[in-house]
Amino acid sequence: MNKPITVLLVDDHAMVRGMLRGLLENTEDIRVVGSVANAADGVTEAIRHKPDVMLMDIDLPGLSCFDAAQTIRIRSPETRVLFLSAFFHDRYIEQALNVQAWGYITKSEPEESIIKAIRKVCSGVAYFSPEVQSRIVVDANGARLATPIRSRASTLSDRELEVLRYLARGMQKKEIAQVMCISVNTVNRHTTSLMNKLDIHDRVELARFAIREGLAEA
Amino acid sequence: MSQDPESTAELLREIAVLKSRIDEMERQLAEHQEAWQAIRDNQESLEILLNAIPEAVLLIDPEGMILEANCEAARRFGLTREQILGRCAFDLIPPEVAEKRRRQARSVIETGEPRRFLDRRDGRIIDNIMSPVFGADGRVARLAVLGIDVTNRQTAEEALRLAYDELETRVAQRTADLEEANRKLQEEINERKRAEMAAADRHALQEQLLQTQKMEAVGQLAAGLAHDFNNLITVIRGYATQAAASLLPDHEARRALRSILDATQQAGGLTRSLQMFSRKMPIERRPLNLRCLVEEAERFIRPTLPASITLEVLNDAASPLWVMADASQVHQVLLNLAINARDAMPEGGRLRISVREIAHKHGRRQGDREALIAFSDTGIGIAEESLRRIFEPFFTTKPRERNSGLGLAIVQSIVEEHGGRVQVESKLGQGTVFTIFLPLTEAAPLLDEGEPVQPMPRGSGELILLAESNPHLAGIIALTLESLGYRVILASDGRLIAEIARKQRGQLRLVILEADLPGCRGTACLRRMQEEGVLFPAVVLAGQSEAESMECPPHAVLLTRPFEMPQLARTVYNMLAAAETRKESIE
Repeated sequence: MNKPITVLLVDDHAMVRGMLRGLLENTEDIRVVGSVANAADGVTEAIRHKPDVMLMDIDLPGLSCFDAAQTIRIRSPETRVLFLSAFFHDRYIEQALNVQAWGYITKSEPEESIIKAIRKVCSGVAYFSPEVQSRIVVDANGARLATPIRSRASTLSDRELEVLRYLARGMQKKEIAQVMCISVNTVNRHTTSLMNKLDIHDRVELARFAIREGLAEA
Repeated sequence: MSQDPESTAELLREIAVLKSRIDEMERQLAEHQEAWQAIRDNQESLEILLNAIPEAVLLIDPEGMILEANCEAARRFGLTREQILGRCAFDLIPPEVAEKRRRQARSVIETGEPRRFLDRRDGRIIDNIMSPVFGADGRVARLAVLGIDVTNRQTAEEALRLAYDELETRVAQRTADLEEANRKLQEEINERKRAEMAAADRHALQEQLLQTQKMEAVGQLAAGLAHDFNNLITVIRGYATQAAASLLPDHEARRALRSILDATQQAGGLTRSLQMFSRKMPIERRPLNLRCLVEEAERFIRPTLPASITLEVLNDAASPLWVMADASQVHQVLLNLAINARDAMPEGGRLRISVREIAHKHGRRQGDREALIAFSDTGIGIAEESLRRIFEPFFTTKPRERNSGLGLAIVQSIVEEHGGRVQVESKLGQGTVFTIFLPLTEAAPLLDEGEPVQPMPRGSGELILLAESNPHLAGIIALTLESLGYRVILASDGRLIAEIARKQRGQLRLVILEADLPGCRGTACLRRMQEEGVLFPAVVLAGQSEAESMECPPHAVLLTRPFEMPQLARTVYNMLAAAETRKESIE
């Protein structure tokens, strides 16, 4: 018998985690090696267990899932990240491709699709919907979406986007600094820069902007 | 001395005649004296009269000699009456005026008509009237000149004229003041009207803002709900699936679990509506011809309408209306409005969709234009109290089981997201008009957006060897190829390609390989395959710089990065088709 596919689950909803664990553990060729509620724990567990696949929710408290995926790509290269989200969202897909995620599935897809996606990803084939596939461009840097998202948010650097995402969640700058492993001064600098770029100088408005742009959940 | 009687008588008669003559002469003398006296008296009276006249009176002969004058006339010459009588009047006035007066005198003599002229002298203004005095022969024998001092009158007239002018000026000034005041008043009225309109607009905008904020708040609430709801649905569906899998096929609980799964399916649809309403799907706006969008929408709207509803589309395709829009979202708006109109006409009627360009009411610049789409139905109409709430989420006048109450809220949400606005007018029993305004874009479209996107050509199980050193890229390319019906074998090392090709000789149809493969470069791999007698059509994936310096074998094509998946799909399809054609021709 082939070695089962090892999977790490990351979702802040305990019931979803429970359901997914139940679903996957009933599948012979899949074994769940861990189930955690946030991205930071996901990184720790991924480094510890080196799972084949990490099934990670997009909207997680604390560390951003995309930052976590980036870290895992370096610290546990054999682990392939498969994103699971409530909804399809171009910006999420774009960021997922940026961090070389292996797939993106929505929670509304049938459970069999999750299993199928895990198997595919493990076999070296990515898993994105046909609609996304037709818009993927392969260039020197890898894969990206054909139509770049044209909004004020596109003027922000990756780090500024991260800071914005955390600010929109109501996190304090000190917390952001800890999560991003940077100094509070750097957070301040990113904040000032992104506020100037967006011409928004109020945290509430920033949060509203981030929600509208799909950078944060309501 | 003696005298003859007869002589005496004669003498006496002569004495008597003489006496009589003397008497007669005395009488005549007395009469003459009396007449002379009368004349003297008359002359005196005339003199008195003349001198009593306060104006100058002159009687001159045709040569200008003064025959008679009153004292005032002499005074005006600065002389006495005696001094001027017998002198030429023209010698008493300045020479530059004298000649003119002479001509005037001649004119009076020649024409017999009086002349009038003004003299200004020593600050006085004299109004002269030169009148002809006719002789017994009917000819002008003398000229009478009456010089009236009109200085005071002229001064008075001047003063009057000045006063009049002053009055005129003041009236003009006053008129101007009044006009200015009137203009200011009019401006004030206009300003007030504008202010009132602005206030009304502001009020409307404020209401709109409040409504927008309310909708945004509801939207965010909906987004949160949709997110959590989706998680719960996932859990329910997951467990129901697991439970069903653990039951025997004929277990009676399976039906109940099937119902649970059906319900989650419906609930999923509701979350998608909530998601759309809460704008969780960012819109991808591009310059699109609104007329094409409406034309496309017509195709899917028509089947949704029963035969009892006539659809009229007034859409002049000749003049494109470019808007920055997300096609699928605009289609959603048009479909929602069409469904709304359909439901408003249960007994049938007419739905008219018109598209046109109008001046932008709230444009930043004069001349700003916007696009208008109007949905006009002949349905039952909407009551006033419902009209106010028509765009509120979950508000519906239809039976709840038929409608989520999100349709029009989604319409408003999408239109506002596109920088536009929606208006509704309705009359009970007559129908409803929904009007959408969208800002026109000045940006020239880069592509003909009306051209439909060609689907990627599909394969039919052909086996493809994919050699790409970046496993992530390989995974994505493999995913696309598998989705299109191909089978894929992955290889990450160039040294393995020839071996795999040899092993899969019977089934392999195409090789896709990276130009810069580790172990063996792409073109070198192809050469080795050729040497080993395993020749397959190949697609070489290369960067721009690699492609420029690369010599591609005849059975291979270069696909230069960056490329899109449809491009890869077409290349693969064409290569396989060409290979198939070659094979057929050889056979």
